[in-house]
Amino acid sequence: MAHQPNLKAVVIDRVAAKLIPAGGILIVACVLGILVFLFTVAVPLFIPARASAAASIASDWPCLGVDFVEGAPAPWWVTREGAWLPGADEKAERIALPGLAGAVPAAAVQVPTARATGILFTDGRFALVRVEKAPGGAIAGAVLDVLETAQGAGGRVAAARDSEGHARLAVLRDGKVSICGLAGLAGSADTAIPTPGIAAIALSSSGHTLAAALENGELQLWNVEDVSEPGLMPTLPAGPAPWAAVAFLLGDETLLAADSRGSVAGWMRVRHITITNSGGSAASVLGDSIPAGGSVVVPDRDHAKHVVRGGALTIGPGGHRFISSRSFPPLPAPAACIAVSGRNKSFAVADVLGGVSTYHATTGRRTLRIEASAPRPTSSLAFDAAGTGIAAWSDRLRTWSIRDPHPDVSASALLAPLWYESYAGPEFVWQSSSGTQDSEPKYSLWPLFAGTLKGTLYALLFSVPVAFAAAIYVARFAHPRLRSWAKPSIELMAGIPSVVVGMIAALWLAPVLERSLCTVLVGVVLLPPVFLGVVAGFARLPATAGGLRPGVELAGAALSLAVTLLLAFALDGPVERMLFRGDFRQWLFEALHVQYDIRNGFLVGVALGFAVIPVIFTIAEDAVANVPASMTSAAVALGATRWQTVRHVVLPAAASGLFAAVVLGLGRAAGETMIVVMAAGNTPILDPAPWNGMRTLSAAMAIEIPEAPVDGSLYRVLFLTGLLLFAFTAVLNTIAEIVGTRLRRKYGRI
Amino acid sequence: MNWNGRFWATALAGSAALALTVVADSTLSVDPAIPAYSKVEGIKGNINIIGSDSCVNLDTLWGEGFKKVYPEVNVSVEGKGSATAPPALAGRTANVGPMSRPMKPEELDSVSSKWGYQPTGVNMAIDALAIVVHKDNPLQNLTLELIDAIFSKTRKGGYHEDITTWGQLGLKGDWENKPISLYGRNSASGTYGYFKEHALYKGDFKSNVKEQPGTAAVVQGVAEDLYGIGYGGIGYLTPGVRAVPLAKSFGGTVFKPTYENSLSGKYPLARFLILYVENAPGKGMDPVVREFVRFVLSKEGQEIVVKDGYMPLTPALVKKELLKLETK
Repeated sequence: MAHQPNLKAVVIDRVAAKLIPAGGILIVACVLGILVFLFTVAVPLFIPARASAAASIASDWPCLGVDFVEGAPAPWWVTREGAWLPGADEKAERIALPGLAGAVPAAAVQVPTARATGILFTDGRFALVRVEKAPGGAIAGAVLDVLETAQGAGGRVAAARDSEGHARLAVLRDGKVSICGLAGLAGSADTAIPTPGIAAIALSSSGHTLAAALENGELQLWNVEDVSEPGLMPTLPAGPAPWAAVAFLLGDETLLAADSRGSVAGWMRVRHITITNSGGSAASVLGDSIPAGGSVVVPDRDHAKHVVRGGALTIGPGGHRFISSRSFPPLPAPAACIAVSGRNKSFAVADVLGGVSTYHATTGRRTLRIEASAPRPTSSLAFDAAGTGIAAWSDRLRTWSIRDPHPDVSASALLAPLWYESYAGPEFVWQSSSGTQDSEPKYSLWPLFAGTLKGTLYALLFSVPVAFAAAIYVARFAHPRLRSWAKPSIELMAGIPSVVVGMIAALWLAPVLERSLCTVLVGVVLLPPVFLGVVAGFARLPATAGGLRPGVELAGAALSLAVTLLLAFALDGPVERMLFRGDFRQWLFEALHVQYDIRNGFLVGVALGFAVIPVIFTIAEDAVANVPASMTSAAVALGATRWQTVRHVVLPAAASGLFAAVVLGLGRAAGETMIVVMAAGNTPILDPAPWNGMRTLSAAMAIEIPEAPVDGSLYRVLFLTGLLLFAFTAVLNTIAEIVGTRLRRKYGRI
Repeated sequence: MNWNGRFWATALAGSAALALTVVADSTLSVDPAIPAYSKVEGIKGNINIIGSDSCVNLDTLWGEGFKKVYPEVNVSVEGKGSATAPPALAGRTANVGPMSRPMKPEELDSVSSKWGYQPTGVNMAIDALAIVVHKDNPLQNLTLELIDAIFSKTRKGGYHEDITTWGQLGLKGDWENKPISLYGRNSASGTYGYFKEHALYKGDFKSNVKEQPGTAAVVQGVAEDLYGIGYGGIGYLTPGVRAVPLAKSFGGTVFKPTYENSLSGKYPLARFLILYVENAPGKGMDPVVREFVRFVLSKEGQEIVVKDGYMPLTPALVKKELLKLETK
């Protein structure tokens, strides 16, 4: 009888033939989809800033100052006739200033941190004015504070609003500066700064520091906290060309200056220390030399670590000083004025040819260059409150809307050491958030890379020897009965949720490890000799008593472990007393300057290693067990012992599988999150030592994503770390595959 | 029998110690001039609270109290950190956003760009951020400069050396050479931001500060670590730790984190806990949210503040905050 095709089987066969490839394609599509998604979120970080011209208002009036309306993208400006808004039919519309009707403006300057513009009137009054768009739509001017001064003639001005909300004013006229503000109960004070030849001035946003750029290129800083008594602070060295403009960056930690040759530079406020040398001979610390019996004030670059306590050198406070720390790409023409953002560390410099360049101070790069329409010097420049608009007045009033959502991120910010504000030098730092906007977010990825590598390395150091030994033993040495339950039970370890492993490590193992650090150390030192001793003992046993009968070596290993543990517990006390002055942790700190952290690399190595062992074991065991019996039989027939067989036949043949096992374990360890979040302390440090913690890429993502504003810089940087982790794993797996295939081809011929 | 007796004695002693410490200020009570809550008819809907971890217990207790008055109202509470409040308010997944620091201008903008107007911040309780050490630590007091030198790598407070051992803080004997072990909050928390701004002078934390997901975890870490130091809201203190009295700077007077010292501003790390809500100009507040905030500002709500270990508002402050609930 001819065989009838079973209709049901045919249908199932056809459906399966369609479904199975569809499943495969779906998986590939999902992986690609994740990749594309990560990519699209991360890529906007590197899109260059764009500026688009928004308004261009023709004028024949000299503009004293420009600013933006709060809550609307429109500019407003000050002329001798008053304050103005762009109105209908290209006509300007007057802004009424309550209480200041009829007063004639003499000078004006934007005060970004107060979200206002300061206007000095010819009658000597100085007012902080904010122009706001009400929710209803009407635009009106509000006067925040008025100061009575004797400065009616005007000039170039700098202004600030102090923490109590009062106006501060500095006026530069004929190379001389007067500073005005409230001084105690006496009312306003008007004090002249006793330095002639000043070319440009700036006030810090608190109004407490006045920066004066001299015509001879010097930069002077005056402490004007008390307006009636200005005090000169240490002078900064002279620049190569006279300064044309100075400004304080948001946060008052950086002083910016641009000169008449177009170069732009920054000085940062850095903590200094005084090193006093009471000894009889000159000394040197970190390259700073201190004469005998003298003292020097130097930037604090961890000198304290290099000074012996109780020696001739003593360290005392040295106050804060500004030191030259940043230089920016130069302008094509002499600088005219500087405007700083009230939102982030961006600033803009206009040149005498009407062009505008914007910079980001942290990354030190030029973010934007706007060319002039006509070569006329810019006399007023301003950012809007959100940092998304710039207004400049040269031949006409022009505004641009700026699209630069991530000025604080660049390849150098992520990968190069940057000199951040209040640091003594360039460093790799990850500290992504703060409660205030005038601090710099720090996105160096190296601490996270280092943390990931550190965790992975310690995990592999722990797991590879254990897993390989277990795999070789189970596949080649163990009694078949032992093998039948040992393999599944080790593989079962993979089923333990990593959060449980992390919790046990953090809450139970960490304190245990901390208390018995010395015991662990003694145990690690004792294990090899004890093991050798046990092996020697077994070898001397008469064959009739069992000897090294195949399959019972496990008993020997267990015995070694038990003996080691007993010895470790018995000896740790005496060892700690004799060698480590009774307290191993304290000895580490005092003798080696090592601070043992309760959440550390060793702990993570053990916990992460525990999670990785089943991955490595399974593949390694398969590789070792699948070495063809013909090869091992040949070896045994030639008289090789079991170890010789394993060493010279099995391991070379299984090498590709063992390599794949390590690489897959590596991938698993690098991507593991919960264990490191719970057990690593999440300290973003660059230190490979096993006694302190780490923050890995995956842990940073898990911890910081909830706080990251969607589409903000931190959010995108975290997605970028995800993309890098993805790429890292993909590269690893590809390497494993390529090497594995090569090795397989090589040994396949045997 | 004997065992039982000892067990109860221990438990009682433990709870007595707990009661004593949690209510750090045993005399703390709500000013009777703060009016009791008056029920309004027809209130129903949802209160979704997302924000500060420091306030999460407080939010839950308020939610329970509010539900007793209005059983038909659903209250959900999630506290992962102050930084999570602005996105939740902007996306309207929450209608109440508790924060332990004021919103940054950037955050205000992110909300107002979605709403068209700014969120309203209502001060709802006073918190003194306590510097906690192990209960057996003999440290008497600290200044902000020293705290800065302990926790910060930038030391913007100006102290000339990095403080890494207890000996540098004047402790003698066994303590002298012991390293200081640092505990802090994760960066999503308002406490982290507040501490950075006020105790670190806007500087940066050292990289070896162990970041804990909640104030309770910080306090627990310090309670288990004899040489530990950490910071957290006064409402989370346990018998295992001690709050160190602080002075603003060297030579200044030292103040304990008490109610009087916080109100007068003498204790340098006192702050308001703030509820951010939506008060649309011309339209007013969602009635259920308005009533919730009124409840928080009532005698009952402020009693909950005291119960949770924080400090209540004064009648004058309550009056000022209630004005913010009116339709603009």
